[in-house]
Amino acid sequence: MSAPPAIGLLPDQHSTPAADEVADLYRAHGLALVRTAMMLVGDKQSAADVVQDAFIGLYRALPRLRSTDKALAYLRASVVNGCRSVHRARQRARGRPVQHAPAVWSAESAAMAREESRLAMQAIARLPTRAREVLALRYYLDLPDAEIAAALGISRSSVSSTASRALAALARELQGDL
Amino acid sequence: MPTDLTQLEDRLRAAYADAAETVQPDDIRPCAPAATSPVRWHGAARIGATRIGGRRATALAAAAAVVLIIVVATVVPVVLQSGSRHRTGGPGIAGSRMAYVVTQRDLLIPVNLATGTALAPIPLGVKGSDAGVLISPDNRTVYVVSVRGQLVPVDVTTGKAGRPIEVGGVPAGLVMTPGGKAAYVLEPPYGVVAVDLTTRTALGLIKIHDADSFVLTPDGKTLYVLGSVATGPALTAISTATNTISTTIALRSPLHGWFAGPQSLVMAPDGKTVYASMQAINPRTSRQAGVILPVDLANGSERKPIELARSGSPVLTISPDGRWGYLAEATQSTKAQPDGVQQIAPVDLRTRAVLPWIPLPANQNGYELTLSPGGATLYATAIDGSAIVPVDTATGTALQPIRLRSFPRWYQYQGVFAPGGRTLYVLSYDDYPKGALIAGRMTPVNTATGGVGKSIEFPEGLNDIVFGR
Repeated sequence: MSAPPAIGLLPDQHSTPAADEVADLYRAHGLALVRTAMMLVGDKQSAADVVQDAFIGLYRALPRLRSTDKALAYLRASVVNGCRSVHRARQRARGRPVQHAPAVWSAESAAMAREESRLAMQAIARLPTRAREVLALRYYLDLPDAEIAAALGISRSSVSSTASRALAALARELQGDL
Repeated sequence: MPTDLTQLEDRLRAAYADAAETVQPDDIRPCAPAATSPVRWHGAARIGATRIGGRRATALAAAAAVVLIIVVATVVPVVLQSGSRHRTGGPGIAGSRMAYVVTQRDLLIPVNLATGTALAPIPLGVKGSDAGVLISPDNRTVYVVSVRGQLVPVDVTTGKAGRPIEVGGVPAGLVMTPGGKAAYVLEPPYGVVAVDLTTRTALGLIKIHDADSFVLTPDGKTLYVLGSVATGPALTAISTATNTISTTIALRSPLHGWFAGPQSLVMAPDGKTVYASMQAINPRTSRQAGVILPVDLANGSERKPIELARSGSPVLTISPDGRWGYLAEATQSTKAQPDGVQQIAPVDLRTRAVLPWIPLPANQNGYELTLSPGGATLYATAIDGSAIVPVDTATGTALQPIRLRSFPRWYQYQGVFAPGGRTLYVLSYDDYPKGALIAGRMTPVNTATGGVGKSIEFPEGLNDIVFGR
């Protein structure tokens, strides 16, 4: 299985206190990242776990990042990777749905009040992983395609084509509702 | 088709905004890292295959339990009723032509593989999803460990669950010694609980810091547990004769200057080498790589690591002779292949050389590998695929895919061979859950002919499966 990286301390790592910088980033972007992760994994607990792991990874990585400007990009990529790991883990977990809370858009959850939004999120949840990632980064975080490409580790053209296919699929799926 | 793209995009933005509102600032945790407290490798527990922190595991298990109680109380009677309508024959059948499925409903369902039929369910009598299932060497007893800390022995000759053995904690794995006299329950991040199966008694916790995963040697004499020491990941050996720790091997970083976290342990068939799979991240470039660290158990020394193309799940599938390892990986993005290429990496475990890759069908993800018992054929199963791809391991060529028509209705997630090595069962789960249940199914594939048999479906879910020996 794959999982959010459980980061190991390396003997050659010199601890550089970067807590303030990480804390600032967390205050500024923590909530948005948890929300983004929640849209990819479905539940708050898993999303919070993913984001926590991403910040722990950043804390370790910060002294070695060439530029702190890259920190947010690093976090986004870590969160997306962490969410993929959650999915892989769930998929490999032989269908144990009770290991995590139901998705906020599922019928079992009363978290989303507006039926129209819930149906849209359910339709999104049925898309392939990459399509869900592209849509969340594009329509929730409002990132340009170049930044989406950087976060997902794919080309801009892939972002564009994935989004087009996803929108076409959603249009078909939500046809009756639009 | 959409009446208007803008309308669709607006709806998506609104849906995301509504979904975002479900997470409020109070829901997120305080910033974890602190300048004065160095971040340590935090023990990652594994429930099923989901790795989560120990305290998170407890909290999640509690939440899951609440959900489960509600669901069980409301749905189980209906399921049992509907299940019994089309299931004939009672429990009490044991043997090598049987399989036993653990469902989401705390049931054990015997499956007659000869006829392809699911028989009447056996209630396990405990609540909570299972964390492992095993069968005794005489095929008479199936052991199911629940995430609520109970190990349930089920006499499949009578179809009755016995008194649960209280092992405590939040179990995440179960192994049994070859003779069937002892079992070990993984209790992340605290250690493992030894169980005497002859007296059905839990003997107590063997403490291992940040216990994460474990593997038993083929002779059953030593249990290796992946945990940690002050410097990072470590491998601890437990003697199953005395249930005491015999040695602890501290693992170094597989790649200098990279962060590495352990992912899984795989034992070589001869029991002389353990392969610790890790995911490594270069903090300077953010580049990720799968790394496998072979550990020679005879002298506790690490060998040169095997570095793979990129991140993912570097879990080795090892040939019966221990010579070859196989991994499913995606390559790094290139201009020509911006999304990378899904491939199988054969690894010569003697030289640790990664050989030329075997390409797999594109546009599919989450490949899992299952090796035929003789090692002649490897079967690649993509989670979002509709077929399985056999690969001839002698020539390294992908053969004609076997169509199962899984996706998009079913997510095929694992292939398992039944005893005899002729029939491969592809396990899938339903992507369109009804209520809280995610149905499961097992589809038999005759590996000699490539013929696909009729799937056996489990509306109660398919959490786990064990085959009679």
